[in-house]
Amino acid sequence: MAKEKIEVPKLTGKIEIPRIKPGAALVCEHHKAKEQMLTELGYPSALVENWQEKAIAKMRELLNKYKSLKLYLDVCVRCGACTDKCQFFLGTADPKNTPVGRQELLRKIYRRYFTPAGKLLGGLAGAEDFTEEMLKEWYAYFHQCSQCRRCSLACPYGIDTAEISMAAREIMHSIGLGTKYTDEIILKVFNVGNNLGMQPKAIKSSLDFCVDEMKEAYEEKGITNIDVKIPMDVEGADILLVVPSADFFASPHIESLLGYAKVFHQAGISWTLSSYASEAGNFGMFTGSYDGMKKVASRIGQAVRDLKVKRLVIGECGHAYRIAYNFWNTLTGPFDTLDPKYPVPQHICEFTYDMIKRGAIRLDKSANDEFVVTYHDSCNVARATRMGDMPGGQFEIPRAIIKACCNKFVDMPQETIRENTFCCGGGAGLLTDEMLEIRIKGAMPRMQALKQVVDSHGVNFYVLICAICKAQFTKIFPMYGFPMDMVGGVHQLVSRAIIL
Amino acid sequence: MNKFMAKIVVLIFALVLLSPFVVNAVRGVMGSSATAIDLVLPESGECVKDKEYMRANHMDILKEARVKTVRDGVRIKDYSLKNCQTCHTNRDEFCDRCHNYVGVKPECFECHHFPTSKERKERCEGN
Amino acid sequence: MLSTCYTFSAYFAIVIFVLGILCKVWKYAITPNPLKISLTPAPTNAAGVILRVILDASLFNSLFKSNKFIWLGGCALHLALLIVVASHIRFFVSPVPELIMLLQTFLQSIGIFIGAIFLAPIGYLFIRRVWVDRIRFVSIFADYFILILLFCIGLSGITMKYFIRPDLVAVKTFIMGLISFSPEPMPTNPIFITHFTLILILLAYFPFSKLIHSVGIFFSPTRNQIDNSREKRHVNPWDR
Ligand code: SF4
Ligand code: SF4
Repeated sequence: MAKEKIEVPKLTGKIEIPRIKPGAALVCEHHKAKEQMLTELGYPSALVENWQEKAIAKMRELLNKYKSLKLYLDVCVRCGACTDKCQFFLGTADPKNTPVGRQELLRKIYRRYFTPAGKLLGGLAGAEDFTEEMLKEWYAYFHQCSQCRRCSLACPYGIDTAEISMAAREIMHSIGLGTKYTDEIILKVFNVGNNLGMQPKAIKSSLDFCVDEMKEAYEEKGITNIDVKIPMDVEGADILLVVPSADFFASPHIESLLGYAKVFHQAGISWTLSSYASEAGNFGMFTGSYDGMKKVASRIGQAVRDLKVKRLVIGECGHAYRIAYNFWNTLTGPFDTLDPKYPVPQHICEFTYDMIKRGAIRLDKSANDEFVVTYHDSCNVARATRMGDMPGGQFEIPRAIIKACCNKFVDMPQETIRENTFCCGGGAGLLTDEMLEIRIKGAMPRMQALKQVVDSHGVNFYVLICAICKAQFTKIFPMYGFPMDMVGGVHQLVSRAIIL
Repeated sequence: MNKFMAKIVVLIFALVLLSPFVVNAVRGVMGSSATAIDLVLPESGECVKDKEYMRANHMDILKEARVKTVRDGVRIKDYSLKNCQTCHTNRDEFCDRCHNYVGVKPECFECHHFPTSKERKERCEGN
Repeated sequence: MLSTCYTFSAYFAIVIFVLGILCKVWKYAITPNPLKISLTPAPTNAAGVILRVILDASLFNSLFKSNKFIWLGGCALHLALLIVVASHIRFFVSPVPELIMLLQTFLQSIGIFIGAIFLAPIGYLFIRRVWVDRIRFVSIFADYFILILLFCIGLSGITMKYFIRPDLVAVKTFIMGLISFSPEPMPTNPIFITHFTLILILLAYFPFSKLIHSVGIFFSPTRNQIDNSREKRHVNPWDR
């Protein structure tokens, strides 16, 4: 697909529901995982011969293991309430990219092999044989779901298409079909410890470089006594900070890392990164593999014990925070050794917000006066986690921090923020070049919403708390005619405003 | 959910689903035919139309008579409530038995008086 | 012959209906939740979660937020179903309780309206299903079948109420016979036979159809899980 020129949707500021174009997105496919990757991950190295049988067997296993899957395959009434909610449908107009359209791909097989009606009546009951064409559709469409759960919010029964996509991906993996992008990254975590495959030494030097640059920048302004550090592998520190590895050197991610460092420095709390647990993200979730996810997460529990820290804080990353918030305790807990006075794990925004409230850090709003800021709720944070004690804290706390850091803040239209937020279009394994078309189109609803506030309020800075969103938007923004450096992290604002 | 809880949940659902049977059983009519209605029928055994028809459609006849009378001023003697009373003397022994059984409230008696056997007796005694 | 046949089929359908649903309930209840997947913002305590599920099951809260048109159709249909079912209770208890009598009197007074509110939403949902291209695309035959089935049941019901009347005493006697296990003869009114047959089909089809959503809604983990992952450790039953 990459060869042809991709048509970027026009920005009008309005999100319209398109007329359907069946099959429009079928051609957008991930590169398949290489044999040796699959073998290394313990899957068959290529599509196995009796793949149908194997797939059905795997499906049976999953049906007994996941209530969500079992239930959601049964209860959908095809009411259509979810059909206009998925950014990938809005962008591509392919009806198999509607949440229910996506689910039906699996449900047809489920009906055919697991329900009396489907076995008896076949097509009349909405059942279909697991054919090669069907498998192709599975591979395309189930990898075009970013597991953002916008559909689950809309569904009267809370049907979460993400759960179904995960199951489908796991089934495909079990018969020797995976995506190169995600598998490669999982292997890097297994072998090296983070998604980027950065060795501890490389991380260290990148961090040193970054600290030096920061100091220089301050020196230029005439401030010389800066001794903000980014410590690594310090045993007995109070806080272990786990960040997405992109924060170590990608832009604008690293600006936020500096923000965290400054907050900790001003708060006067000892903290450390870990070179062993150098990744907050967990692509195991993207493949739907419980074991994979557990293996990736196990590094966290290990680092907590090894470094004898008292608190666990997690940096700006959407799916990582979901996994940290909801799954770490199950996967790599219990965290008995940590101080129960604090949430385990705690989001960096919760930490910073707390410091602001207590007056432990001071912020100079005017440092961000050149910006009119808007905030993008990352889907995983918005719909799968919480910050603070109150439901909805995940919306309020980042906004409170932003408002403490700048004078001009506007929200995008209500139906596109908070729990209704759109995915950036790059989540759950989509953040790869061959999927650029889907990424561009999937970002369309968000871009329309942004366009509105850019036109009406002159928004020129777009902040968020997700490593994938940052990477996706810096790539996509220029295509829609927004400058790339308009994208930044919440702690990037903090970093600029904080008074050292 | 553990097995024990699951069993309780299934039990609750079973109770709800089988409620018609359960309620009936609790009311102690299980197995017995609780259903025979004995109407006190006039000896003649004849009505203005045949019995089967009357069972299902008497309300239409009465309604028709009502409309004709009230709107057009035409009385259909055969179909008047008075005419019914000539044979079916007591409301509680005739109308009410079925009407109560199937839970339908006749509108007739909102205006018309159709004595029950008790009232009739009292009236006789009074005279 | 007719009576034997129908008595037998009725029990058959009821057994499938009840056992079918209970099997599903059992399956839904025991299938584990390996991970916490509550859809946030979610309540942080049990009472909140119960309220959330009740609101979703009774007022279709989530649907209201996501699509007002479908909500309207869905609400009307389910409300009509509720009223219709309620007005049938009088055939299943003897003597008829006072409360049901009151309801019945009320329903009688609004007459044909009931029939309309039952058929109208079905028609509306049918048209919507055909009309909106993306909903038509995802619809399967079963979706239309259910609507048609319900429509026919409603239509035969209305026909019986206003046009071709069966002997209600015979109908109730038959039903009471069924639920007290002492079979009585089946009424011979053809419309009643049709109505009854369709209902048996509905009952027997229920557990295998999407109608199981009525049960499933109470088990949906994204809605019925408490948002307390950090406060209380969730253990995966198949990975201890
Ligand atoms: S909203 Fe839920 S029930 Fe309706 S079509 Fe979508 S998944 Fe199915
Ligand atoms: S989870 Fe998100 S991406 Fe996946 S189908 Fe639902 S709305 Fe679309």
